[in-house]
Amino acid sequence: MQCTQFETRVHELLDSRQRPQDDPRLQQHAADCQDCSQFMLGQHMMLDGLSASLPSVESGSLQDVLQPEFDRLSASPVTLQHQPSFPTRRLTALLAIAASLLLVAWLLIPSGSDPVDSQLTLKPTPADSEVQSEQSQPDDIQLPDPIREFLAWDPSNNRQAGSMLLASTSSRLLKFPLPHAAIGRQMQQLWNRGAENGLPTEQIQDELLPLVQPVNTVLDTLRESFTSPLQLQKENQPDASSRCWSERIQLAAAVRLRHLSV
Amino acid sequence: MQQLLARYQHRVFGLCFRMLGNRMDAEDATQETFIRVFRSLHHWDSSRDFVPWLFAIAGNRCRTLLSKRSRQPRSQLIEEMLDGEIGQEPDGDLAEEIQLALAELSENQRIAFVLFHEQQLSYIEIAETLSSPVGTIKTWIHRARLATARWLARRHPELDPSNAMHPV
Repeated sequence: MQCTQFETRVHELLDSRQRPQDDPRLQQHAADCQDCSQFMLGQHMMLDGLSASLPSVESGSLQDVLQPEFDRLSASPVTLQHQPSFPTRRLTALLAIAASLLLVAWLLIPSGSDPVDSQLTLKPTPADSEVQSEQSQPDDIQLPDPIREFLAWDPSNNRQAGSMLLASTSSRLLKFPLPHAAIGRQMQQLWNRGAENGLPTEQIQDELLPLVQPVNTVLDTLRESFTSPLQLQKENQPDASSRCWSERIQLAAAVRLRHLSV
Repeated sequence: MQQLLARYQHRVFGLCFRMLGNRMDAEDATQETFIRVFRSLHHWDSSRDFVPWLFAIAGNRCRTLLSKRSRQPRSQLIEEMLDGEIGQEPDGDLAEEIQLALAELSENQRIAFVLFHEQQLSYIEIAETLSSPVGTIKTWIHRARLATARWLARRHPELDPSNAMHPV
C-alpha cells in the first residue's frame, strides 16, 4: 500500500464514521511508515479526546440571561409571520413617496447604460389642462420598473438573478439624492444583514413584502396621472393647491396610502 | 423557545467554544446566537432542517467575534503559551492539546471539522450551514484532519509505537 492510498483510505473510513485503527491493512502499512503512523496516531488522539474534552454550558445561566427576551417576544401582540422588521407606517409611506419621486426623476433623466427589461409606455390625455405645470410633461413616458421587478421575482427561480437585481436596484438608488439614496442604503443594509446571518435570499424578500402594496399604489397612481388625471384631481381635492403635476401625483398617492392598512 | 434553548444550548456552546477558544467568549456568542434565533424564527423556512440554520447563525456570530480580535485568532491557551505562562512542552492534558490543535486551523477548516466530528453533521448539512459546496467542505475537513493529526503526533512522539525502544 502506498502512502497516498493509506491517506485516502483513512479519510474514507473517517467520512463514514469508522475507525481507521480497526483496518488491518492500514495497521500493516503504519507499522512500516513513520509519517503514516503519526497520522494514524494523531487521528486516534483527536477523535478519542474530542467529545470528552468539551466543556458544557452551565445549566440555567443562559436561561437567566435570555428570559427578558422570552418575555418580550411572548408579550408582543404582533404576529411573527411576515412581520416587517422595518420600522413604521410612516417610514413605509415615506419610502413609497420616495419611490414615486424616483420614478419622476427617471422620467426626466435620460436613460443610462443600465438595461431595462420591462418598460411601459403611456400617453397622457391630450385634452387635459389640469396637469400642465412648470415642469414639462413628456408625451411618451417610459417607466423603468426596477423595484417592481425585484418584488415580483420568484425566489424559487433564479436566486442569483434576484440577488443581482437587488444589488443593481440599490446601486441605482444610491446615485440619487435623498430620499432615494436612503432607500438604496436600506436595501443594501437589508442585503448585508441577510448575508451576515446566512439567511437565504427569499427571506430577505419577505422583509420587503410590506412595501409591495404602497409601491404598487404609487406606480398605479403615476400611470393614472396620464389616463385619468381628473379623477386624481378629485381624490386630491383637499390638496388642490398643489402646483406641478409631479407633486399632484405624489399627493394623490399619499392620499391613497392613508387608506392602506400597512 | 425555552424548549429550543434546552435542546440546543449545549451543542451551540460546544461549537462556539471550539471556534473561540475560551468559555467567556463562547457564552457571549451562544447568547447572541439564541437572541438572533428567537428574533428571526419567523424567517426560518420550516421545510428546511433547523440545525443547519441554527449553526449558520452561531458560526456567523463566532466569525464576527473573531474578526473583532486585533490579532490572528488564537485560543487563550496559545496566547498564554506565547507569553510563557504555559510551558512549551505538552503537559499531558488532552483537552488543552486538542484546543491548541484546533486553534492552528483556519476558521473554515475548524468549523467544518467540529461540525462533522463533534456535532455529527453530515457533509450535506455542513454545506448548507456554511453555504459552500460539498466538495469544498470535504477539502476543509481532510486538511483539518491532516493538520491536527500531525500537530498532535508531533507534540506527543512518545506515544508513537515506532519510537519505542527495542532490546538489542
